[in-house]
Amino acid sequence: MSRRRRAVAPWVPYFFIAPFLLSFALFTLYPLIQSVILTTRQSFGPGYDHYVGLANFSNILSDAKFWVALKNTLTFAIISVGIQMPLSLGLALLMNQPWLRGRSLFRLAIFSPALVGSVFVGIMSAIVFQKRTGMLNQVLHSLFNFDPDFPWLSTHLMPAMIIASLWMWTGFNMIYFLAALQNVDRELVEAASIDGAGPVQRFLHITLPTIRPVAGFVTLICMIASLQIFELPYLMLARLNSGPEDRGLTVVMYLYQTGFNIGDLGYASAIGWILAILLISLSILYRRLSRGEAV
Amino acid sequence: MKPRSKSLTLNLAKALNYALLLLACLVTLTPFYWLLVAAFKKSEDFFAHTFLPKGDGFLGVAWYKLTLDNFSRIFTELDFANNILNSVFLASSTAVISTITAAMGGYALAKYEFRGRDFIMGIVLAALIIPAPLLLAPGYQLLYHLHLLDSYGGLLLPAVAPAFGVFLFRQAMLNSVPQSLLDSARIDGCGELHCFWVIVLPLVRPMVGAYLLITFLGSWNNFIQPQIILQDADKFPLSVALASLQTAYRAEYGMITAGTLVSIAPLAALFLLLQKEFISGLTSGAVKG
Amino acid sequence: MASVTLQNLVKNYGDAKRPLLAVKGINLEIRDREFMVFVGPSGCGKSTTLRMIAGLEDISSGHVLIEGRKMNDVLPKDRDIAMVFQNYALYPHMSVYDNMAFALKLRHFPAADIRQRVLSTAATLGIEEEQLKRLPRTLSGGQRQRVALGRAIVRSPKVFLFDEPLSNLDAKARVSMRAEIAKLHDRLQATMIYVTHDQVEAMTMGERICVMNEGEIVQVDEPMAIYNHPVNMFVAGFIGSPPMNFIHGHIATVEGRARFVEDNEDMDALRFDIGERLSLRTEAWRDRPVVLGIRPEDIYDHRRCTASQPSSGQYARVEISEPMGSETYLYLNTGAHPLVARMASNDRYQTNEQVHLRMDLAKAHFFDPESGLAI
Repeated sequence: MSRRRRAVAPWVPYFFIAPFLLSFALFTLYPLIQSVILTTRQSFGPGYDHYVGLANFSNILSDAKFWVALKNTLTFAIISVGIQMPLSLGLALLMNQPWLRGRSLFRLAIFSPALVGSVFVGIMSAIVFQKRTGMLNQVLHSLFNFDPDFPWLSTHLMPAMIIASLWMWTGFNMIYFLAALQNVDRELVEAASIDGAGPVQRFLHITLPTIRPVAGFVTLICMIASLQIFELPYLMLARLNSGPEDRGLTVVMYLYQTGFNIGDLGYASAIGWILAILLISLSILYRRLSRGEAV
Repeated sequence: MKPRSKSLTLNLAKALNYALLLLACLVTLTPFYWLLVAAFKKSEDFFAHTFLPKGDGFLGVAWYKLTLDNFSRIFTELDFANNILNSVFLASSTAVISTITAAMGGYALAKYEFRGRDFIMGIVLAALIIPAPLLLAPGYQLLYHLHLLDSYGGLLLPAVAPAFGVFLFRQAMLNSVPQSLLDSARIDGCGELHCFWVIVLPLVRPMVGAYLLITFLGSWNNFIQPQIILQDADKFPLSVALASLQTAYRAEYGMITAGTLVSIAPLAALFLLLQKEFISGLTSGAVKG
Repeated sequence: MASVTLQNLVKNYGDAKRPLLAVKGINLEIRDREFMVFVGPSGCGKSTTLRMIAGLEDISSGHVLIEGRKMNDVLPKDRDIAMVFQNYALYPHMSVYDNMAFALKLRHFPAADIRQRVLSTAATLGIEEEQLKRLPRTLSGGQRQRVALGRAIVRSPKVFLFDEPLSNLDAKARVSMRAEIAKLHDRLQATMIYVTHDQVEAMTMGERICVMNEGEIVQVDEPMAIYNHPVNMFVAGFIGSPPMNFIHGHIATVEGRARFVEDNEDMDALRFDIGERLSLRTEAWRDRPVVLGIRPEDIYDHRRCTASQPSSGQYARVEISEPMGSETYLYLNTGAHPLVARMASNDRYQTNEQVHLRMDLAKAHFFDPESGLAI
């Protein structure tokens, strides 16, 4: 039996998927395999390239600087996301009042920082957070008599990063929560209030369960983004170093420094893999927890 | 409860709601206002006044102390016009390349049956969870071998058909491209490629718009890749140029803020024009994993 | 000049080892200028067959011929067909005019020719010029289907394919479009193949009806022939509304006369003398189980009939009486079988009333309960 032609020539689907396959093979799969190979090498460019086995990993595990970077990154991610989530949910609740006027203007304003890339936020923050002369301390001082010499950019870099990240991301998360809240069944809420549920009970028993899948998902993507934080501390510190006692050192910043300042791509790849394992296990954990919930 | 006191509490609650939202707006907008003002201040006034310099002009502001010097300096002493062009070029070509190729891939996965489709879909889903920093070092090596370092090719080629774009377009096309329209087009005599341009892309136009915007934004705000890949200052986009300005001219706050303003103003303009697409795009764009 | 021939047509959605047959090797000759309706329950393979004729679906084996020319390897656009879809399939981003002109533009017709064709087609279909500039979504369902029809006509194809084109329309638009398509067939003198699950559409529109079930053709004939002489219980039950009543029983010889006796535990089972002609036809089935098929309009209330003597065992109890306006559907129960009878509109019945039935046995059908085939 001869091979019959279809309504669509058989090469057509492959033509459409080809850009993805080629790009994936060359710029994702190949580097991914290379990154595994690189972890076993100490490589300062083509001139100096040695096989070191698992030494990169064992070196990292005994590298105090890496642990500082990891601790900073985790601290930043957990605190920042921990504040962002309730804050953005709260804002979304305020925005979801049916009688609210000017909702789109509020949304526009609160969302707008999401447009500004963290590189620009970092550059702005390097000035805004300066002690004595910075905008933040001046405003806080005039409002609350706050210490104008509070050293945001040195010893207290972590809270400064967290504040900057809140500014960047809270409005963005709020959009998600607002969309989720608008899916809450109004009839269900009305039925509950007829059954005598107060606002708090309605929130706990109707609103919260409905938005839970979205909340879980937003938490995940925020955690993933926060654990890869780089530009913010890098530019807040004006690319000089990682701050006093490495207080601004994050995992990706350390990866960048070892790979592109020092030039050891092998060590950088090993750091990359540790980060990747962290992020992938987070995704897997999320899938486990959210099994059966659709987003 | 008496009806009167009930309406009073209700009004109080409403007032509090508005007050809290206004506070949130104030907090988000203050840094923008500060930036706007700072970019027009002379260096001697930069830190002397938190916002506008006080004086006896209109509204108690010393308007004469404001200046355009910062802007003229970044365009004359530095080559910011060139950086703007670079950013516009990089962001628009990334957006166009990425959108067309991602839409093609999404179309194949959503609307054709072919051998290996499920496997490729598996690749797309797996690729979604590979974190970008992991590929920085080997990607750099690869570009070195391909002689693509210090070239826009090294930034544009990896932007072809990213997995999450393919995934987004697949979802969009599953939902909004009915099979009967494709059938109808085939009977009408439309070839497959023609059909993609004339029928399929218009059908997912909201997604195309949103995705164009998020890839444009992503490229505009991208720092780490161009920072690593580009060496020649003539090729720098705004993000890298501004970062080097920050190190080279540490105390030139006026120039730095003017540069930042110039860098984010085009985005703000785009945003005001295309608010809806932006919000739907940014929220869908984050639908990773 | 376009006949459509299906030869051993098979659609296999599985593979050679585990076949999943949607169409199981059908043969059919659709004559030139014929209006052929494919009808059957969902999943019977009628749409798959149509899509294979259109070339939208791969043919697993067998042949599709148009004008005697084998079409298996011909792309849909080169088969000289047009298709109208259930959901209209109008390009939502193109104006009505552009929708109708699309195929012509793709075939590089001169602009003036396109314009002339679109305008004249629109005029015959009653699409107003003002509507030509609008987008499809601004039109009602009926208007959209009119445009879809126009898009098909504009190309003057040899064969029109309709895939349940009226299913998404409301009852009123459906009736008017039904007439519209029938008129169109008279005027265009083209071959039309029409797929529907609605037996009313099949009966009213088809010159011939092809009844399909489970991937096979059950019966092909003119509408009244199918209605009056269904080849099996499936066709008998599918065509006609309310459907034909089936009564299980057997044919006994009582006092030298053939008599149908209902299977009924009650002592008051239905019994009918079946008359000489039917008696001869069912000779071989004497004392064997059979199924009696009787259409609702062939059941009468004895009281409303003139003459004829009452006989015993012909009572059924009224469950529901549904006045439809022009007629009344009477839902009855004999104790073992539910029955539907079509009564005059002014007849009134009480629930649980016993009705003395008479049946026009000249119009009765007998079926083999095992195979379902007509006797």
